[in-house]
Amino acid sequence: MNELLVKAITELNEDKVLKIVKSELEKGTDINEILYLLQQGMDKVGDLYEECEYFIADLIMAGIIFREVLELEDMRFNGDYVGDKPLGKIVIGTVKGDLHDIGKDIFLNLARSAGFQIYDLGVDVEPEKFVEKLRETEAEVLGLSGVLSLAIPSMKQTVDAVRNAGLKQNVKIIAGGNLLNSDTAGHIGADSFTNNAMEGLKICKSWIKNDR
Amino acid sequence: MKNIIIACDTLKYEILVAKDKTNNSDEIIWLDGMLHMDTDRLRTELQKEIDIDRGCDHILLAYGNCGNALVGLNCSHAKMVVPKTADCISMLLNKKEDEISRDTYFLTRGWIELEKNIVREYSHCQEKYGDEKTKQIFKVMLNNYRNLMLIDSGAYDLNDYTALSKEIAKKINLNFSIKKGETTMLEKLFANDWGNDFAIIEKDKQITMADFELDNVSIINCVSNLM
Ligand code: B12
Repeated sequence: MNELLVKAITELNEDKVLKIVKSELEKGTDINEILYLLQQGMDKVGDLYEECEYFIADLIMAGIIFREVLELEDMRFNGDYVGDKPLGKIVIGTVKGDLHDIGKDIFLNLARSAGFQIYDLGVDVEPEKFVEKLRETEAEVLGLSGVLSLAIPSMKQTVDAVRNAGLKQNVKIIAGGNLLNSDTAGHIGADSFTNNAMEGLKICKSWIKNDR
Repeated sequence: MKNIIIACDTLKYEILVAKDKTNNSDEIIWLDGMLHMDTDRLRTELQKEIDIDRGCDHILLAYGNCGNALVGLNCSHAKMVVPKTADCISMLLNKKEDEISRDTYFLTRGWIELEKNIVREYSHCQEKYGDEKTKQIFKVMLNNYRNLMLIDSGAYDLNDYTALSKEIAKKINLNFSIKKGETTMLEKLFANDWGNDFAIIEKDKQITMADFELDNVSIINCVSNLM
C-alpha cells in the first residue's frame, strides 16, 4: 500500500486516499505508519507546489484530504490519550495582522488527531485574546502561526503579553511559519519554532512528557 | 556610476513606467513573478543573479522583502540597494505593511498576468475538482477576505482590467473596488534618490530584517542559517 497511498495523496485523489486508509485500518495497520505515508504524500504535494506545478488550491485540497483522513474515527491515536483526558491543551491562532492560515490548520488538525485538545482563535488574533484564552483554558502550549514579515513583531508582542500577564511559567510557546528561523525565533522569545507541522507536534509532545 | 536592476516581473508595468519617468537606462534582469510562491527558491534565484559580476557599482533590487525572501542575500562585487517595504502591494500603495487593509486581496495587471493567479486558481479548481469542491476550497482560501481591490498604479489602462476583476470578484464572492496606487518608490530607486526609504547594503554584508525597519525587529542581525 505504501506507494499506492503516497501516490494517491500526491495526485490529490480524495476517494482513493480514503479507500486505502480505511482498508488499511481494517487490516489493523499501525496508525503511525499510515501517518508517516500521509506526511510523505503531503511533502510531495508541497514540492510540486514549490515547483509551481500545483496551485494554492491544490495545497488546500491536500489539507482537506489530510483532515478527512485524520477525522476518521480509527485514526485517533488513542494510545496517547491518558484515560479519557486529552494529551494536552493547545491554544493556537494566526497572530495579529496576518490572515494566512493554511499552515496553522494543517498543524492543528494533526495535533488534534494526536490527542491534543485544540482551542483555535482563528486569524488576526490580538495578543490579549491569546492571554485571555490561556487563562480560561489553562493550556500547557501556545501555538503562534504567521507568514507575513509583520507576523514577527506580532509574535513578539504576543509572547511579551503572556509574560506580562504572569503566565509564562505555566505555558510553553511554539511559533510556526515558513519565514521563521532560529534568529527570528530568538527575537520573538518563544521556546521553540518550526517550519514543519510534524516536527511541531513532536516538540509539543516532548513538552507534555517532560511535564508529567 | 553603473547600476543594474534585478526585478520581479509581477511589477513589470510599474517598473517600465518608473524607468521612463526617470530616464533611467540601467539594464534590467527579470525574474519570474511565480517565485513568490516559494520564498526560499526566490532567495536562491536572486542570489544566483547577484553573484554574476556585471561590473556595476550598485544592484538595485526592485522587490519588497516578500516574506523574508531578501533576508540573507549578499554581494561581494557591488553594493545592493533595497526598498524598505514588505512586498509589492505595500510598495505600490506606499504604505506600511500594518496599514494595509487585512481583509483585502489585491490585484494589479502584473498579478492578473501571472502564470498562476487567483483567476487561474479558480478555473483550475473547477476543471480539476468540479463546482462543489471548488466552493469548499475557495472557502478555505478566502475565508477571511471580504474585498478584492484593483490597484490603479497608473501603469496600465484600467478599463482593460476592471471588467475581468469585477467578474472574478463576483465568482469568489468579494466586494470589488479600485484604489489609486503609485510608482513613487520605484521612481526614487531608479533616480538614485535613496533617502530613508532604501537600505544600502555594503559589499559582503547580508541583508537583514532590520534593514526593512519593521517595528521591533532592529535587533535581528544574523540570519546565516536561512541560506
Ligand atoms: C497561500 C498564500 C496566500 C493565500 C492564503 C490562503 C489562506 N487561507 O491562508 C492567499 C492567496 C489568500 C494569499 C493572500 C495574500 N498574500 Co500570500 N502567500 C501565500 C503563500 C504562497 C503560501 C503560504 C502558505 O500557505 N504556505 C503553505 C503552508 C503549509 O506553509 P506554512 O504556513 O509555513 O505552514 C507549515 C509550517 O510552517 C507549520 N506551521 C504553520 N503554522 C504553525 C503553527 C504552529 C504552532 C506550528 C507548530 C507549526 C506551524 O506547519 C505547516 C505545515 O508543515 C506565501 C508564500 C510562501 N511560500 O510563504 C504567500 C505570501 C505569504 N503572501 C504574500 C502576499 C504579498 C499576499 C497578499 C498581500 C497578495 C495580494 N495580492 O493581495 C495577500 C494578503 C492580503 C493582505 N491584505 O495582507 C507574501 C507576504 C509578503 C510579506 N508581507 O511578508 C508572501 C510571502 C508571498 C511573497 N513572496 O510575496 N496568500
